[in-house]
Amino acid sequence: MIQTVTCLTFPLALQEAYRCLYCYDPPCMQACPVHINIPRFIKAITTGDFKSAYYLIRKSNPFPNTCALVCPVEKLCEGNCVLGTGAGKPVSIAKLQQFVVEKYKYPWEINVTAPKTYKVGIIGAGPAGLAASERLLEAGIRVSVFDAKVEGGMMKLTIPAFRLPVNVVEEEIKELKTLGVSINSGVYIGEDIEKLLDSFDALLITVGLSGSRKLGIEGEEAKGVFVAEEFLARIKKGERLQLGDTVVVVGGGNTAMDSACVSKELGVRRVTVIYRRTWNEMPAWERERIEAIKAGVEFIFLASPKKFILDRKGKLKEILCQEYTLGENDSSGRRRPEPLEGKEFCISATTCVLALGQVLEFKPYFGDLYVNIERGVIKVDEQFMTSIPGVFAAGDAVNGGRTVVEAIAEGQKAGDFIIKYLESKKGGASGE
Amino acid sequence: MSNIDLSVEFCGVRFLNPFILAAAPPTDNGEMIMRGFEAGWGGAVCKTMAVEKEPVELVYPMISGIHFNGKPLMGMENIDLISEHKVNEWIPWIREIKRNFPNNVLIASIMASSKEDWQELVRRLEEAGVDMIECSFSCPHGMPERGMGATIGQSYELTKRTAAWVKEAAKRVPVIIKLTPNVTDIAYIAEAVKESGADGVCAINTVKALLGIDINTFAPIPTVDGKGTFGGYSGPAIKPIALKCVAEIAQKVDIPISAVGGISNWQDAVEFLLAGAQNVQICTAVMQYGFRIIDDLKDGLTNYLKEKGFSSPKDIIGRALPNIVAHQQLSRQWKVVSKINQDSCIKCDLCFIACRDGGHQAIERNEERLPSVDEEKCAGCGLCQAICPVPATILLVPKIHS
Repeated sequence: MIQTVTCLTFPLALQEAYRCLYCYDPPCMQACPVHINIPRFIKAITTGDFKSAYYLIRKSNPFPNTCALVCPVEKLCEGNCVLGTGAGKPVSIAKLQQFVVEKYKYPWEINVTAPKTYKVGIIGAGPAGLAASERLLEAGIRVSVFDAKVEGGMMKLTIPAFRLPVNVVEEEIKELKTLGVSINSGVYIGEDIEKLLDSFDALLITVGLSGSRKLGIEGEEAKGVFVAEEFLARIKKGERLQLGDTVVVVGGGNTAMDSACVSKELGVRRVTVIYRRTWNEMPAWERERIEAIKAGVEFIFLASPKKFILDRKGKLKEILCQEYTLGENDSSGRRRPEPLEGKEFCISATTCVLALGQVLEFKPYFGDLYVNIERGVIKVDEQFMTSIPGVFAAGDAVNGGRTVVEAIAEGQKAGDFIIKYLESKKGGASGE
Repeated sequence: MSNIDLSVEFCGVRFLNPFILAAAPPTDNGEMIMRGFEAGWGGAVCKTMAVEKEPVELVYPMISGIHFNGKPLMGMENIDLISEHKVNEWIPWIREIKRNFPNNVLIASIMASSKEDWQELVRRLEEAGVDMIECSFSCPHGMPERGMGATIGQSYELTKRTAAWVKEAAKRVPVIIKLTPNVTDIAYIAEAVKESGADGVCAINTVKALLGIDINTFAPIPTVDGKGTFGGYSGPAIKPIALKCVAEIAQKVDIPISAVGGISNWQDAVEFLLAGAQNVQICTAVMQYGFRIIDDLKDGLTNYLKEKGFSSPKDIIGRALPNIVAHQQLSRQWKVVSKINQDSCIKCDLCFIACRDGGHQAIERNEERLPSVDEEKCAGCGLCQAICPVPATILLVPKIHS
């Protein structure tokens, strides 16, 4: 079964840390969206200065353990390690970070030198919103965070437990709360809170992409057909879903791989991923694909459901699939899948999970705020401000859905711009 | 591995190969030495012994190591003393070793506090059948406090006088004197050995050192009940010191040299032969990896000699000596410039920062972090090459004048 990344032992961590060359202008650090000073924290491990190691990491990232587990490091820090040149093996930076934050955690404090009177409201308690709230607190600004669901966002809801145990996120959020972040969960903006802009000096929208894309085909509402985000969240919460013995997952991204792996974890005999394009076009990361293959997941490429066929009780029985071929490149640079006339097949399925991507679920959250939306995401300027002055946005809702660490980085930057904005507003208002 | 004869001659004694187990814990009893010979070592120097009445009170722990970049062993320090086994215990071992290994050279290392004791040791050991006597004038700790060890080796007069006593007593076998590096001019002391009439020198014994201090307890390392003392430093870290001592003696004194000090592999051994040693003694590397390293040493040396067109280690002894000159004799016309192989460069940019903050600001980087040398600014100092982590990526090439 899929194993949660185990923490390095002390001797192994030391050995690994010694491999770091302590590069000048380190490419790993540049590649890290929150720019952790990687060579310095690794060198601190070799000299036994674990306090410095921990603070160097924590200073740049309020979710250091989460990121050590879920970052696509092969594309970020480790992918840019100079030791990985050619056939070389990069330093295992994520494992060293996990080692430090799990074994040498020190109390983290925020020392506010000059408290301000501003209040900032943050909508969405995911990584972007919480990272921003820490930045604002550091500047002495009061912050209220609201979330329609639970604190932690997707980190807590959909990332499977084998990849990211719930307690890891919970502990990191607990620390943020101790530092003064106040989180109000289960609060729907627009229903529970009116006239937000009157109550706060600035707002930050970090709602993520909580809506799930659907196929829009016959039978999609049947029993046994799930959207991946809901599917993963319910399983992570501990719900015992009746999946049957054949699960079909539709999609080629990480969420599709996660859904397939989780199904295998739960003992489903046959798990098949159906994807419209081929292995080469799949957006899922290398390691997630490999995990899926290792878990025994099967793949059908160049096909997509056309119709869900139900049994007499209205439960999913079979999926009628359309075959595809790859045509010209589309706007994303990938070859466009084109249906093959008359080529169809049926696959039996007791459960179908639709992992087709997430979309902005805008409406329920902020009744009186009408920010500009473009191509399905909130439009912001280079300072993360939306079309409404004083209303900022960051994270998946802005970037279209990327990584936890990028959401954190954007939250931090947005936080800094909010501070700048508030300071300049004050200057203007008082006529100084 | 044929047609290369590894045998060497030293003070008139033939060794099967130039690799000798130094006087140290690996040679502290007959059984260990026989296992060393079985493994293929050309010779062995018994751990230094004394007469029965000489007290030897050891302390524990007596050994500590320094790791480099997390790996053992850059250097090792010991506060060991001479063998706890006195000469009477050694004699039957010596007889047994020589009976079983007549072709391997057995050298007895001795230490004494009076003329009578020195000479008695020589007589009894010669009679037992050793092939050579080595005198320790060089142990840096424990013994000097009693007028032994390095106390002798730090004085020209004492060295000459004591060596002469030993040489006078030795009727059959050659006598070599083991020197301490803890002197201002080791060649001057080697001169005293030459003057005494003794046959050769062994250089060097350990370097007097303080391995470290425990930053939590403030106790020196190794720590004996909270206290520590200055000890003898050995291993790869002292190799450059030993090499300098050997070359200095070889250049200034006409006397056979057995080299010891930080030799860990065949390359080190070749360097010592090139610096004028007739053979090499090894201790720390054996203490770390065991007698089995002899196979690597012999194979490496054989392959090297063959590849270079030599037939014997004798062919390379002292060959580097003419190239070791005084600083003022070095060419001031010779100019080199650093060249970075951009194909093998991994872009750690350590050369860039080293040159900027420790050199001549001669290395530039492009937008892809790839370093290159500004030949106008490059002085050819060699720092970038010294710190580059990728072998053969930075070369120092002669500068062509227009």
